[in-house]
Amino acid sequence: MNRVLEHEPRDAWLAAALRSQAEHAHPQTDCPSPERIWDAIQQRLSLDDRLEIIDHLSGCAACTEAWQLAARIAPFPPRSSAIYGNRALLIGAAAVLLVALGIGFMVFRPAGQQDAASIEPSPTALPTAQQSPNTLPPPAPTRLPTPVQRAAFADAGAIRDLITAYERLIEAKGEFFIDVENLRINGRTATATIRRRDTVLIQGERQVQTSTHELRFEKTGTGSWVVVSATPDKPLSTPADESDESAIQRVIAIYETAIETKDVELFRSVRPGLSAVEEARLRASFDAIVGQQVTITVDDIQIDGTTAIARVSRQDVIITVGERRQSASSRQILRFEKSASGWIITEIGR
Amino acid sequence: MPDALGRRVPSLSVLSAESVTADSTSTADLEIAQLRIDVARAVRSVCPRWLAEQADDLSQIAVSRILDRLRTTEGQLELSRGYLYRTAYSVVIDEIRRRRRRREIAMDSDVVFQSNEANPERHTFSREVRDAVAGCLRRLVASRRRAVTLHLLGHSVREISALLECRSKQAENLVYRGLNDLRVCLTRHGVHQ
Repeated sequence: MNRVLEHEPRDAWLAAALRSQAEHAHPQTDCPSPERIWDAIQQRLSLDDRLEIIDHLSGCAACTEAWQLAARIAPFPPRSSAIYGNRALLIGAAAVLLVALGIGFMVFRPAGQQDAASIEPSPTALPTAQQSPNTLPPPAPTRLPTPVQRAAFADAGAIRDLITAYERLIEAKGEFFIDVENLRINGRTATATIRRRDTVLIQGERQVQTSTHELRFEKTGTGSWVVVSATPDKPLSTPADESDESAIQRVIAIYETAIETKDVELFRSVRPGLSAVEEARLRASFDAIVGQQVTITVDDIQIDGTTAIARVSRQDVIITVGERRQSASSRQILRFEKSASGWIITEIGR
Repeated sequence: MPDALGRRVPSLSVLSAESVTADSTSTADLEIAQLRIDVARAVRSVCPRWLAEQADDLSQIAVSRILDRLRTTEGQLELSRGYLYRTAYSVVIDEIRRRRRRREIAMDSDVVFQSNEANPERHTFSREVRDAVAGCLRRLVASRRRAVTLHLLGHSVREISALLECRSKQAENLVYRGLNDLRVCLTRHGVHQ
């Protein structure tokens, strides 16, 4: 059969992920020697030794690279029992052999010999093919949230309830909305950035005033959440007469500066929807380098109402530990949304 | 004696003789010269592009290893093409590992290296994904883990069944079921395409 299982598009990224990082992979102390890797691919090692090396591959990027290099160069040996993998060929060959033997026996049997068929019935010559196992993958198990996730959901719900209660409490005094921009829970403390839009009457005209607040919460001993502090109003300064395109370019410039200065808060000011995972990743990438110079060139900006897409070319000069400098070029697609406070980045594509 | 690929292979037994006669010296020189050419070709085909500048040095190391081996085996080593490539591969991988362990840094810090990685964020992201894939692979049943690892490294079902010594159908099932398990695990850890 020799069918090749091509990587499905949905699996190509898995293969790429497994092969990635080889450039930075440290060989481990228990890495197999190159000769053993070569011999494993050539099937000159015992099965146990081969399996040991294959087991090692899944956790060692350095050996993954070595294995792939050997697989590219070393011709895969012709399978000693190639016929083993092809049951149909095996059965066909056996049938042909039996027929040939039968014909030979019929033609050349000694005179007077009794026909075997007259003595006993002919046995079933060929074994039935093994029932092929069900190829359908087993159904995915129902994924229930873990206790930790359930607790996090409960905490997030409790804090949002608290904010809603605050909103209802003061709603009677005027018309306003609160958007929770960012809610981060860290154990028994939490912070939430909220964006408040008040509609006020100034000289008979309805005007919208926007402000942001950062609220800090703490979980009490009884398990309920309370607000412990709130930052003063931070009016958002957006030039009134700035065009959308120049406003987006300004946001990109801030994004560039935030990376160069490793300023997470500045980064969040233009990318407020930064999740905890993304923030951790950003901090890790900042920690991994000594410095970085970023030059972003805006290739194209497409504005469609309150959303926009910018295609940019990015040139990074990264200074790693040991003052080694690396340059890297890449292109990015940045998605924007026009919020009450101005344009913000909603997605950083690759 | 021809090798498995039908190529004439010298035994170079003359090189290991305790006393090399005058008649055999020119033959040995010719054979060593040919060996150097063959080894250099093998090293160049194995060497990654970023290590290409070291190909000559690596070829020299490979030739030395082969000559040492010839001496220890008293010239009874058959220099098949496979053996030359195996030696070249071994030398190149040793060099790659040595460099990765030492993390060599150029003396001139103004030199800017061109990197394939787009930027540190992307590098960190890809490392996270790789760690997640490796972590989920470790959690798979051993037979499925091996099949999936080989599949993701680009091996065909035939090669997987040969390496794992199982039937093709079984290898195919192991890959399919292992991939399914892997996807479920990655989804659970919030990693998706």
